Amino acid sequence: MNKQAYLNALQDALDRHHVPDAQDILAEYEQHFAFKLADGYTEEEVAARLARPQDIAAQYAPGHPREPRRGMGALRATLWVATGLFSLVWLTCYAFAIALFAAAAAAAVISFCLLTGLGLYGLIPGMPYAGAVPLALCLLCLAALLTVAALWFFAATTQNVRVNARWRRNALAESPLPPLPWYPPFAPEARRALRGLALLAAMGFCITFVIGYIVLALHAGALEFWHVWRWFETARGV
Amino acid sequence: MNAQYKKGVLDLCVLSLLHQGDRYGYEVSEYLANRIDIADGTVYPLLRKLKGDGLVSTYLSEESGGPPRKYYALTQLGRDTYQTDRADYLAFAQAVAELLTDEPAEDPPTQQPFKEKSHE
Repeated sequence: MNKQAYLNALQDALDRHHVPDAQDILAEYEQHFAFKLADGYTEEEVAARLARPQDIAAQYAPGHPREPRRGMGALRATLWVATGLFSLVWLTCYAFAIALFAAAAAAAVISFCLLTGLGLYGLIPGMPYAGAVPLALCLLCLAALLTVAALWFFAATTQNVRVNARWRRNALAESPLPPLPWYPPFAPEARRALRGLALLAAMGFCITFVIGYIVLALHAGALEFWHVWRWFETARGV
Repeated sequence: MNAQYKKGVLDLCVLSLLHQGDRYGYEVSEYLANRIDIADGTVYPLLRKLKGDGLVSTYLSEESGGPPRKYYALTQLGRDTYQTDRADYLAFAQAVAELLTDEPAEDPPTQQPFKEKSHE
């Protein structure tokens, strides 16, 4: 085998092993030939003294240093199956997100009823309108808070489904992709808007709750105003 | 000599050579091929692996009348690794040497101690 034949065989072998920077490696061996030829060896002698092209290419193969992975086979397979079963948990997470949305909607409806004085099948207890307004605002804030929580939880669940899928793919794949972050991928503006809304709603909730309580307590002339207006007794039909 | 012995210390030998000074790939290859009799061309994958691990870096240097040569130099990580590995190996080799020379004298050595033949 002369120099060109050896280098061609080496290139083929490197390509078969998907070795990156093959040209750089070939240049190194070309230089090896150049030095040896300058020392008076023939191309055939140099090629004969070099290790076989496929052996050299195998040493460059990118899969080479990742051998410990194979030893973990059983553990990985177990985890793979376990995370597959765990995927069912995402359904529960989505159900919880839907429950949060429903709670937000309920709070908004009650708030609307309080503002408009709508009885809604007698479920809304009677109270002076001056107290109903702050309570309605309070529930509106709660609805906003729950909506933000539901949105975040929904996005976080979706993202974690992806994280899990990526991990499961990497566990089997030869060339792993980078792992994903667990937190929801909101754009910076969206994240700022959601955080601002949540903070505002939380503050509004606290302030209107206190105001509503004070107004109702003053109207009833008692701290436990719900006893004065018999809110819970009528519900039991007493 | 047992090929497994060489394989284990080849990294250390390359680090030691580069610790003495920057060398190009062929120099390292020739030095090791002459002294510890490894197949030609097997040092280059090793140099690349060391580079991938961040123990050595490369730079091109113009030689008078010839293409630029790729030189290999130890990085700081390479120097640190060399010092620890060297100390580990010397302690290990000394322990083995003591063990092998402290053998009971009932079986006196009939052969001359093994000597590496050197190509000068």
